[in-house]
Formats: sequence, C-alpha cells, structure tokens
Amino acid sequence: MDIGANWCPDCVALDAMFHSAEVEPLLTKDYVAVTVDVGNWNLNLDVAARYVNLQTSGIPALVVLAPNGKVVTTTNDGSFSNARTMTPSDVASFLGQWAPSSSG
Amino acid sequence: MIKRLALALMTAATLLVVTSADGMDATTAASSITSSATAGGAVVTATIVTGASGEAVLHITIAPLDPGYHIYSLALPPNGVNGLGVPTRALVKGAFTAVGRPVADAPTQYLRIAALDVALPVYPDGPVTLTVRVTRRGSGLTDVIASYGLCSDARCMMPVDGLKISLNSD
Repeated sequence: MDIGANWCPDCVALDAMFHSAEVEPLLTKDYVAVTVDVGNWNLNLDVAARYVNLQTSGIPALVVLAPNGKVVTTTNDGSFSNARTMTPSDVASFLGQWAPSSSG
Repeated sequence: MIKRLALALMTAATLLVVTSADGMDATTAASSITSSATAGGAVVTATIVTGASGEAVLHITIAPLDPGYHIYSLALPPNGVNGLGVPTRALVKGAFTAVGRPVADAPTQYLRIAALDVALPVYPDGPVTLTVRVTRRGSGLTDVIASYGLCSDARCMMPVDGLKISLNSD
C-alpha cells in the first residue's frame, strides 16, 4: 500500500521509481500495489489511519500486508518521506526484504 | 510601575519597526489589530496596521514551528509545477479587503528535484511575511484565509487549505 498525494514531490518520485526497470519487476512479482490518495490530508484518512501513523510516517508511506490482511511492516519511521533522495536500489532493497519469496 | 512602562515602550517600539518595514511611516501608525492560529506545523499571525490617515496594510506571517522548513513561493502556479507543491495564498474578506496582491519579504528560490527534473519556487527556510495593502469596507470582523504547505529536506507537513484567522476591526 502506497499512501501519498499528487502534490507531494517525494510521492511522485517514489511512483517513478516503482516504474523503473530495477523496481517494477520486483513489484509485479511479489506484490499487489494499492495506491491510497490522502489529497490535502482530506481524503481516505480513515483508510490510512488503519495502517500507519501519518504524523510520524509522513508521505509517501508504505505498508506491506500479508494475503490475510495482517500488517507485515510499515514505514512509520518516516523512512520513505524523503523518497526524492532515494535510489531505485533503495526501493528494491525494501521490497526484497519484505517479499514473501524472501522468507523461503 | 517603571518596569511596566518600559515594557509598554518596548512593545510600541516593536510595532513601529514592523510598520516601518513595509513603507508606512512609523509616526503615522495609529492602530493595529492582530490574531493568530496554528496549523500544518506553523503559526500564522495576521496583523492589520492602520495609519492616521486611514491607509492600512495587512501582514501575514507564516512561521514554521520547527527549523528547516520552508513554504512554497507565491510564484507557484495554482496547480503547482506538474501538479507538485502547495500554493501559498492569502485572501482577505470582511471589514477590510485587499488592494492589490500580497508580496513576500523573502526572495523566491528554486528547489530542484533531480529525480523529477523539476524546480519548485520556494522561500528560504523560516518565517515569511506576506504584506498587502487593504482598505476598510465596513465594520465587524475581517477574515484572513491562508493556504500553504511546509516542507523540509526530509518531509512535508499536512497542507493547510483555507485556515481562517478572524480579526475584530471594530
């Protein structure tokens, strides 16, 4: 789950990396990506609040859910809120760490 | 008593410095009203200074609560640059209305985001004061409506869309 907004430069930067040659194959192989638009903090806040603390996560925030809906991990530490400074390798590393196939 | 008098004089001196900064002759500043509100990680203070001959200016200071945060420039288009950014806007309605457009006391600089190949107009980190001449149209409340969004190198705060600050101008 990718929680963000269109006005947010870091959110758009992350989305661009999701479509990069290094990241997109990992994303499509192991994940079903869902985008949640929080607008100007006035849209879908109830959905976001079920999974992350936006006050600490900032946006974009990522949530990895198991097929049964259980939260595997979240970026409540704000680790993706400066996505503009990240590289596709950073994103690929995160996805690889939490992918179902990584555990066995 | 002396301490209270000194404090009052210091307060008046501060007001004179503020009013002289926008071009209004400090010696003609007759009165001021001020109010503030907090949202989106910033304190917004609105002050209307009225001169002796009736001319008035509105100052709107957007002051981030934490260091390292900036707001977007008035130069940011209404829909941002490629949709990016949160425009800084200020509207005035009620007893006073604006004459002209607000100007900022800080220079516009461009924040380049290499990953997206865009440059966003922003102000330097820290507080920014917008100033606009206003004219009295009636009595009662004046509402200042401020919109803005704070960002730092690491994150953006919740955008503020239409924060209302009411000033009683009677």
